[in-house]
Amino acid sequence: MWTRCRCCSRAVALAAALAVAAKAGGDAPPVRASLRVAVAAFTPGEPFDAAVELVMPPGWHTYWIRPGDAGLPTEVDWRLPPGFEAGAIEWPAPERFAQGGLASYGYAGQVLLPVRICPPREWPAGEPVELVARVRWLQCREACVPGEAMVTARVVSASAAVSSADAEAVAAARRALPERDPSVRAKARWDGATLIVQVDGLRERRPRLFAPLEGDAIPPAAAQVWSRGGEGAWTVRIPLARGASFPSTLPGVLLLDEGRPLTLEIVADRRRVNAEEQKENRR
Amino acid sequence: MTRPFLATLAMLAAAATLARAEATPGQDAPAFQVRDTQGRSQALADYKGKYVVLEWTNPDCPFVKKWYTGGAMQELQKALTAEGVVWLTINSGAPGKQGHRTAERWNELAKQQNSAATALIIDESGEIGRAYGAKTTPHMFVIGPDGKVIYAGAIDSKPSADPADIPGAVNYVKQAIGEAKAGKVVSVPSARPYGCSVKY
Repeated sequence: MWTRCRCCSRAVALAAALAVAAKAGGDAPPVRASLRVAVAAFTPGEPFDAAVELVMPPGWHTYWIRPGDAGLPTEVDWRLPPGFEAGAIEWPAPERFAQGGLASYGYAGQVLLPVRICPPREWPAGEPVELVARVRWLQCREACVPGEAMVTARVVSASAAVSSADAEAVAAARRALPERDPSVRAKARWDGATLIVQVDGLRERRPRLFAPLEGDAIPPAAAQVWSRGGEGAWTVRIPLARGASFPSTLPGVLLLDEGRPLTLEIVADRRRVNAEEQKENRR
Repeated sequence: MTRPFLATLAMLAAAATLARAEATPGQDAPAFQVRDTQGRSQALADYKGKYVVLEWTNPDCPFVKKWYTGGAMQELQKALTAEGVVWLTINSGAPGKQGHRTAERWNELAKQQNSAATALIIDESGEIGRAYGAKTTPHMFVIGPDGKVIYAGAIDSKPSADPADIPGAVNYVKQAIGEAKAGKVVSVPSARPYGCSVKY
């Protein structure tokens, strides 16, 4: 899918950029950050792919765009030459980290955060470009430590784009991004404190976790035990967050036991749950 | 009455309490009565008629350090308690978890940091934290003179661990108390809390 670059005013902010080595406070082993670009040479005016790679020390994680009960999403603040623009991070599906009845969404091990870069229509052929970004993250194990690093990569312009050694890794990260599947639909109904989500069209693909992109209706720590309904439907019963109400639609990411995660919008079905379900909820 | 029926009733009652328990703006703040780190009794009911701020803390969390290292939290405590606001600092860390301390160590730290809180409460069972739904450090709650929650959530509008972000942010605690005291509607009654997770 073609993702247009969004205008990013911060991208042209003047960089008083002394390269700062990755640093994390205290004794925490730091996350290693780097910038991987899919091209060695770009064509002026033609967007190309890049990704900020984070490698977490064992036991530590960084955060998704919606961190959950605690945490902060990783931020990438670009310092690009005039005319260059960077799109927003396209967030890979997160894992869930639970601790003491609270939970958050993020990444352990290694993650590539894809970003699309739009170069200007005109750029002198053969002239190198330094792509620079300040990456800030919060890394947590039990304790949390903020960290930051300046990441850089150099590309040149050419009449035809040339792939780099990182092209495959960046492309693989994009291929793993959550995607929409028009044949999959989700609806929610509820009875007071219990939300009942039904997803149709998954067939054999078993859902593992729905991570909401908005609101507080689904508590991050709530258990999600998905069970098979009729005709390829999967359902899950989730206790609604206390004091929260369910919106008319709730976008999020559905992680599956196997295969590419899905972007999914749960549509509220406001008809009343039947007496049978009410009975079950109270048991 | 049969025993299973009674058990069901008890479960229903427990579930109902749970559903009501989390501190939500406009609703009654969950009651509590505990001893503070000085051994004094602290009951929410004793502060009827006053504004009460509850601050969830963990001195080893960078988001808490953001507020204490430069003295911003202490200044806020000082300014509000000078106006008659009660400020209770609460740690819900379980024993052995980050941020947990003995009462003696807490009192030393409070002195060293120049805390102007009314009292410090160790909630190592997590009972108060869970009743309020405290998720992060810091996580702030403001209770009005009528015992209802008027604010729940982040301390301010800029989720970060960088003290440089404090001056440019809207402090929701200060704003809520200021608006409520002026007879206005609290414009931001809740905001997503940010910080480290409470180490229950």
